Amino acid sequence: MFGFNKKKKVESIDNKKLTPETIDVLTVKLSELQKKLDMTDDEDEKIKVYEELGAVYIKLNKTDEAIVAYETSIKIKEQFGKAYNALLNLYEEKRKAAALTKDDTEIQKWIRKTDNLLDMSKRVLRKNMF
Amino acid sequence: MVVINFIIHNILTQSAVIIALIALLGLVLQKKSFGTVLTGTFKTLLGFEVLSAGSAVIVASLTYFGKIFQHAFHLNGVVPSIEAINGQAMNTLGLGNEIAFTFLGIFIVNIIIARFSPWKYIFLTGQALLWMSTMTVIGGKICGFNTMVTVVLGSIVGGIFAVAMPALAQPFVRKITGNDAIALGHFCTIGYLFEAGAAWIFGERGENKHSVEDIKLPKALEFMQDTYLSVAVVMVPLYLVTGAFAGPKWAGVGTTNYMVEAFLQAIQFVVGVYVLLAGVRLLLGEIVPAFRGIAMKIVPNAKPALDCPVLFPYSPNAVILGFVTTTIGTVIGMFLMPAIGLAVILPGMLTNFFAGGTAGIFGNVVGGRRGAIIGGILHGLFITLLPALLVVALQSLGFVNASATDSDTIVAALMYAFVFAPILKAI
Repeated sequence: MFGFNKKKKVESIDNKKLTPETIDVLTVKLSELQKKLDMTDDEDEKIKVYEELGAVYIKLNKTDEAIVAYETSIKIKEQFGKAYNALLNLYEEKRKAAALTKDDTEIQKWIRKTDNLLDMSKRVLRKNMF
Repeated sequence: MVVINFIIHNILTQSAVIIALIALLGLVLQKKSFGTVLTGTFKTLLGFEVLSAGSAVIVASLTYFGKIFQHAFHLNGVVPSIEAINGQAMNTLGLGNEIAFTFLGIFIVNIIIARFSPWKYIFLTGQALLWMSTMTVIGGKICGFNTMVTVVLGSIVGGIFAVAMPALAQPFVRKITGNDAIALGHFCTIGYLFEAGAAWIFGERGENKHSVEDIKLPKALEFMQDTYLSVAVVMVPLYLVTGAFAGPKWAGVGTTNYMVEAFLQAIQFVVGVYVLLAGVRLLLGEIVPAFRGIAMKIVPNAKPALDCPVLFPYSPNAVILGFVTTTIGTVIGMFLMPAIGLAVILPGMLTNFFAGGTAGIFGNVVGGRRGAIIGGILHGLFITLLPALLVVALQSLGFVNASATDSDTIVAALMYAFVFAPILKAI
């Protein structure tokens, strides 16, 4: 009815096997980004680099490192954007993995992190409104 | 036998004890340490008592407001507040036990449906589940059901809502977020769908559709930064204007000036909401994580249905526009309802912000700017009409000057009043 009823393919983390060439390219990209981080003091620039780092880690299937990068980006400045969207999906992925192994501590950890993300969403919206 | 009788009649009939025992069950099932079980159970008990204290403050303030509104305008002025309804139901009307068992029942039915059906939604917004259990219990009381039927039916109805509402919202959520990983767990979904429908009829389409996100909105709503300030901003003028019309004879108490009294009573309402919500947080702080953990283990591939702020980052301008347009709709509705013979429903700022804001996202994604604006105003009217329809039934049960807010919970209660009750009468 609304023209978007068909299920879109889910945008999820790429689990395809990476070729050695791709890994090499991504690793080089990682070290470039790390260098960029070391060289800058500008907060906006750092946020951008951390978001890029997160994206590269996702491509490398390094979920934990991606989470750390995105969380650091949000810690520098709470705002809506790539980091929030990515973290929401990554937390859910980790929660699902914990549920499959029936690890209660991990389940609670990732649900709590999602809750914190929602609290942040409220804070940012209110701050942006005024 | 004397001891058992004492336990049954003096301890197990206490809502605070029942709720604490449910938390204890959840913590024991999670194999928590003795210390954690003990503190968790005690915190839940404490939460219930704090909630009751907040409720008493709200009821006192609403009783005053009802009196002055009646004498000022010769109309029935109702404050839409699900917190006030929950507080009165749990405390004054003694429905705490039924609500606690229904809360647990909804969770169980939700898990069963998610486990054995293709709809894998697990509703994770604890506060919303508490509101739903309150309203289904009220529905049961409207129909005159006994405790057992009220709890069982409430659990089934609430459990179905907990799965159906996220499922109905999911096509929109997919479009808003661009993925299918999370769902929306907020019992205002019927209102969101209403706004989406209105936006589809009156909004922009195809190439003419322009998102609200493309425009820059002014920043001029500073009071909304704080939840309680936003309640005060509405309640204080409302009480003052009503007090001025009612005059010193009705609005004054003792030697206090009537306008000062009206002001202080408005502040009392805000204090009541503050205390009650602190109680709710304490009450659910142990139960919800325990049952979330259990649900996730039983349905590992569950799709978590999360509270409405999950969507805010995807369309922040639409949230602001939704809040403003819904507020306009509720103000129009306030004047319109008495014209069609219903009670005056005063605008509720918290609902307008959270439900109105989220509805704005739905309106924008379906009908662009025009859809969000027209849909938002109609949404405001819709969420004013729903509590107005419920007022008579609530007041017949003894509720003081308040009606519910979240649209799905009202629809659930209206279903009891307009579907279950007539069926029962017929058979």
